[in-house]
Amino acid sequence: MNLTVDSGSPTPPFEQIREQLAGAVLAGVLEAGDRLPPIRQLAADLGLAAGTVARAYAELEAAQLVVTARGRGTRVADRPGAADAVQSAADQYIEASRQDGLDLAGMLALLRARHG
Amino acid sequence: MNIPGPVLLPMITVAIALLVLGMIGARSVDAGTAVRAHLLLALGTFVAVVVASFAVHAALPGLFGLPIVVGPGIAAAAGIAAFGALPFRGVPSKGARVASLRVRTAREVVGGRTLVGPVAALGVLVAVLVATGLTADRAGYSTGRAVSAQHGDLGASASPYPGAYYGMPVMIACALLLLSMTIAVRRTVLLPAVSRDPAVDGPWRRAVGEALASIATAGILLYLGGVLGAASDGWKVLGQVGAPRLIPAAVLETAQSVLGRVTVLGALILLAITTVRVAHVGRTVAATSAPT
Repeated sequence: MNLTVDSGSPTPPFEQIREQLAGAVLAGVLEAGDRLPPIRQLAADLGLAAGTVARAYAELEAAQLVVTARGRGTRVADRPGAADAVQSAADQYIEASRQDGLDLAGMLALLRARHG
Repeated sequence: MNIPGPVLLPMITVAIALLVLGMIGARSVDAGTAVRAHLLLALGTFVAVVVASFAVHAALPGLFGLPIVVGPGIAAAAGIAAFGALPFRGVPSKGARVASLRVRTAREVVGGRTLVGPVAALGVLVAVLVATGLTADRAGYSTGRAVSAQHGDLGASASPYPGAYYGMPVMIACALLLLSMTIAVRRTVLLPAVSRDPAVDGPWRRAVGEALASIATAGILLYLGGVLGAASDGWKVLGQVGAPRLIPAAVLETAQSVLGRVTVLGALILLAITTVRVAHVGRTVAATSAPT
């Protein structure tokens, strides 16, 4: 799996990282126990400050999506992904959005607006 | 022991050339140029510290040649540390950047047979130092830095001999070398990927690992050459007084003397090959760089 960070986006880079990783964990793309790259590796590859990636990891940890243990790095937490009902609703939302010509950015913007 | 001017002058020239070439490219945003420049700085630091050890030896003759003896390992450690400590300029951050979530490991830099050379050389060095440490003088003014033999009425002593006086600092320098190698490998793992494909991103990291391992091996081989050379002088003394030994002293002396010269020559050839290969590392990075 790859992460994309767009420095031209109004969304802060740490939030872009957090969103993508949270989405991958909840969708089951990243499974429990999967190791995330070290903060400094990801920061170097994305051309970001280590603190930016560290903030994204900290927020994921606060949301109990990942756990960080000394010597074992940061791993996806041992918890189930989103419930089947939520995943099914997400699929329906994506399908409906595509039919209306909404791209991913549009879908996320709509979700953000509705979420408040 | 003093190094002759005709050898010292080329060494100073080589050190300056490597350091200048390294500094020119070190701030480049091009990954190939930056990696090559940092490796040139590592090699330049190595040669410069070796030259400096001769200067310290000349300034402090009361240390009985200890600066020269410890120099090669400290030089290798300093060179490798320079690679690991000097900052690499970050990748341009404009536009969208993509990174793989694959976790890179040290095995990708120094995996396979990369560490066989330095580990084997270190093993032989430790074995030789233990042997010379056990045969060196254990009492008196020359404890740990001379060897003496007594056979009948005949007695002789030779110094410098690689006993504990020289052996312990050499082992401490080897530990520093190991530490700097660990830091540099870690740093290489964390350098930005030039491609998300491990088959493309991996070769240049391995090439950097091999260059760092060659610098470490050269430092240890220079130690080994010096230790064997000094030991051969000591065994010559034992041969002169005709002390009975399991292996004739003359045979040991010749074997150690030849091995010492071969080892030093091997270290110098290895450094020369590494310098040539460093340019290839830069080309490998440049050839594999792909927009991300």
